[in-house]
Amino acid sequence: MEKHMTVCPYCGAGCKMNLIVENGVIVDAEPLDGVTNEGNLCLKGLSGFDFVNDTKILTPRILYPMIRRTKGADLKRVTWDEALDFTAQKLLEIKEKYGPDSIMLTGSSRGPGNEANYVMQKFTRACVGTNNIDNCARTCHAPSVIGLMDTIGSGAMSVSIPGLEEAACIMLFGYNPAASHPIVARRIVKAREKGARIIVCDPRVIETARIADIHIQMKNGSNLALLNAMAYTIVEEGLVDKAFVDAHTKGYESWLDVVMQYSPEAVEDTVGVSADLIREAARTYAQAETSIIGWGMGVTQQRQGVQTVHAIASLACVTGKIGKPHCGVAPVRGQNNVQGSCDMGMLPNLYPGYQKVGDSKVRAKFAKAWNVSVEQLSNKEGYKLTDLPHGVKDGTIKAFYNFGEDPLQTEPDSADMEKTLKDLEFFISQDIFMTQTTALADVVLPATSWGEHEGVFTASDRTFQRFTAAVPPKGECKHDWEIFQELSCRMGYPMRYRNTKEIWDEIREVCPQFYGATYEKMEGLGYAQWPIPDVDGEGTPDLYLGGTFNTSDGRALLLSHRWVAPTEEPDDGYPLVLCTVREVGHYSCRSMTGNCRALAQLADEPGYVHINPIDAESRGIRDEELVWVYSRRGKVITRASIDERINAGAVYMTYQWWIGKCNDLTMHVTDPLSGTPEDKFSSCDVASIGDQVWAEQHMEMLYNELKARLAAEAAHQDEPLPSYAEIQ
Amino acid sequence: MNLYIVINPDLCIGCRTCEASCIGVHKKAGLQSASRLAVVETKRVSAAVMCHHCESAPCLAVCPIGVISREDGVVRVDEQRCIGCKMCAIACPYGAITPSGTSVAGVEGIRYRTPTYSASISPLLEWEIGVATCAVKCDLCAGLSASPRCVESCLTGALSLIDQGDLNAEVRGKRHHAAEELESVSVECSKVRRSQ
Repeated sequence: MEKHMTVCPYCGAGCKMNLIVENGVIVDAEPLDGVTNEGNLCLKGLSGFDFVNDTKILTPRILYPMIRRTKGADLKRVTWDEALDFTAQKLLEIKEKYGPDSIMLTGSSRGPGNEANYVMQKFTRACVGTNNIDNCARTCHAPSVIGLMDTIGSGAMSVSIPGLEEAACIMLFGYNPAASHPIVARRIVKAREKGARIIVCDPRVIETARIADIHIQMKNGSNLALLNAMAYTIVEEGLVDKAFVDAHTKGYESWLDVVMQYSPEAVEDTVGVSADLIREAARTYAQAETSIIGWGMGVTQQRQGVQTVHAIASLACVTGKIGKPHCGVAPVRGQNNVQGSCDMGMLPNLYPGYQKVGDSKVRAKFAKAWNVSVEQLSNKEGYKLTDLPHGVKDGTIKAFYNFGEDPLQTEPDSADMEKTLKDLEFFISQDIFMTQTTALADVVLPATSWGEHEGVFTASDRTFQRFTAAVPPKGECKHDWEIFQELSCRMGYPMRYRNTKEIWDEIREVCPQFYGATYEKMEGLGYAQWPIPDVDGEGTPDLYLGGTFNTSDGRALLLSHRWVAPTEEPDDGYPLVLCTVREVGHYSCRSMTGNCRALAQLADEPGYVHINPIDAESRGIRDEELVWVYSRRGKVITRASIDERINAGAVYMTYQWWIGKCNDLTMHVTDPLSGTPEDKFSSCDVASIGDQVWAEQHMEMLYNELKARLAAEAAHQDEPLPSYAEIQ
Repeated sequence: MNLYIVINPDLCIGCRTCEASCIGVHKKAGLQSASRLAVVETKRVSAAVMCHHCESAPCLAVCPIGVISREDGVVRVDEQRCIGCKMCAIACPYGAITPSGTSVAGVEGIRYRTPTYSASISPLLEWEIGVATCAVKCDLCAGLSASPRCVESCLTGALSLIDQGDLNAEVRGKRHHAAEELESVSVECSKVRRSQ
């Protein structure tokens, strides 16, 4: 038996753990005493390792490179040389014919780690010559990154995960930690035991709402109205920290202009709670010694995502609830390394370390470090991931390189996304599983999985931690960074890294904020929390201490905005609000957790639509029955869970299901400031199905057909390679 | 004397880590993999519900073939010999016994089920073609783990294993507290007695 230290590949909590290996197979997992998890692991950490072993429960792993020699042909197993030559040649042709900006790439915020992402963006910028690189933060916390950079300067949590426990008041806004980050929910329970006041703003009775002092059960889509009314209360009741506002912020007067139009009494109908409750919440937040606002997708996947983040950051600034320990803002990231992808510059406007693409000094620095001329680095901001569908439609994007993501599952309006991927001239997918997205690719490149490679992840609270390999790569899988490097060499920009440490040391050199995070410091249970400019110490748990913000003049910019109603409001045809949420036992597109035995047993297709008992009764729906959910985009079959924690007039579906797929129903409307889809609000209806036995069999058939289709695509890798004579 | 696991609903976050670890430990031991506890959520409460290993266990009393027994305070089912009559599940006042079987529709990954009932019916009425079920219930991980895995893995310490000793101390404490309230015992004396 061997034990190998790693970091959990699921949420952004950054839990340290051991993988237990017997005869080359991972058989168990055990928690380690990491800085964020303190010897605990949730169900995904404890039971989420067996996907590495290729269990084929949901979909097989891809172990050999495959290509379609012509568009629409069958996948064929080929050698790595042929796959890479083919890919390089196609990309060069497209670059020659349509220019470098016709090629779009997306990074992976999941298992690959920071080094692989860094090499991919270097390949994009220095070799392809475009800034068309993005990551899945676009669909989740991009509004937080943008909104916080606009106001206070750094697009990350200003506090640390262990620090949550020490706060005197925690306000959760559109964030359900018990489902998305159980390890963070544990900190909130502990904070409460230590006497913290808890405020929850959420339309559902989420777990934390049960232990909250104040639960504002607001209407869906009323975020900004509520935040403005809290700000109004703070101003009217004299709770503004004038000294802090004068010394450390700017824009107070124009901020005030907007918020003074939103008295709690005036927004009672919009928000759906009493003015007194809003006032009490505002007072509790402003009067506590230290307060933290935590938020999640309930804030960002909305029409006004960025503007809501502006309002949150401004609220923290006017009350002086930022700039001291255990006090500030906490956008907790959903994927284990989505903070890392942003850190590594997998963004169309930023180089690694949040250095702006438009800044000529930054470009000159990177040109020197990467040994290219400044002219070779594009000064134009690239496309966002959500620009892909219309970019393909209007012919500006011709090729797409997908790295460890499954947009067909995770992006809104799947039917439109499927057409987009099929209309591409050239589509590369580098992944560990035959996902629905990979099944459409012209080139399938098999990468090593978490557990088979090493590197550094960034947890949600800016903590860098190392993870190691537990088992050797399967089949012909290569490390992600090796694939990019070999492709880059073939396309005329050679890279010669020998291991992840060499890549990491280059990252430290070009990103002053990360310089102190050496591999040696992160040995074992060691960690480094950025900003960490020096090799001494473990970094910075709390940002902006003393009120010094990371803006150009060191002051926070206060911003306020008017509330706007959601895009698609319910009507007679589609009377219910559809909101997409998270499954506690599954993760992201489910390709990983769906292949884990215990997790697949706990929750399997078609997932649930959670519905209030009143809405269910009026539709003749009983608990656990299969139902149709339909919207203007499509119709899916799923299971009803009659749940009194749900507000009447809204239904909630988790986005992990491939059959009960809520993204067949959601619409592709995005926040113009961030390009993030409005996944939390669209309209739909639910209908009962009379013949339940038929429905059960139909669902089972759909599920088995999907699995069989993906298995058949993956089976092409088992075909024998053609002999040398045949290739000649 | 009975041992059982209690839950503090104020600490439960409904994350189902207990269920996953229950599945894991029993699956590894070759027993039925169905979770032996169920996280129940109502508007105000989240709690894991499971067997109380009752002193006068009704499941043990009704079992027609005597495959439910008590060993060192743990009420267990012999899954190999159970005939799947479901009497124990009906008798259990906590709903802590679930019938479960091994599907013959294939192993994970290639299983092709043919459901013949609506999932909204009671689990006691569910049946799958060719599958014999047996009663599945909490065994406190006796013989499988040093202490129950759900208690070990709970993130917030919401689950704890209670035995008669703990209960006695707690009851004694409550009685003395009540007596103090009535001012019938001096506070100092009460403290001394409670500490014994």
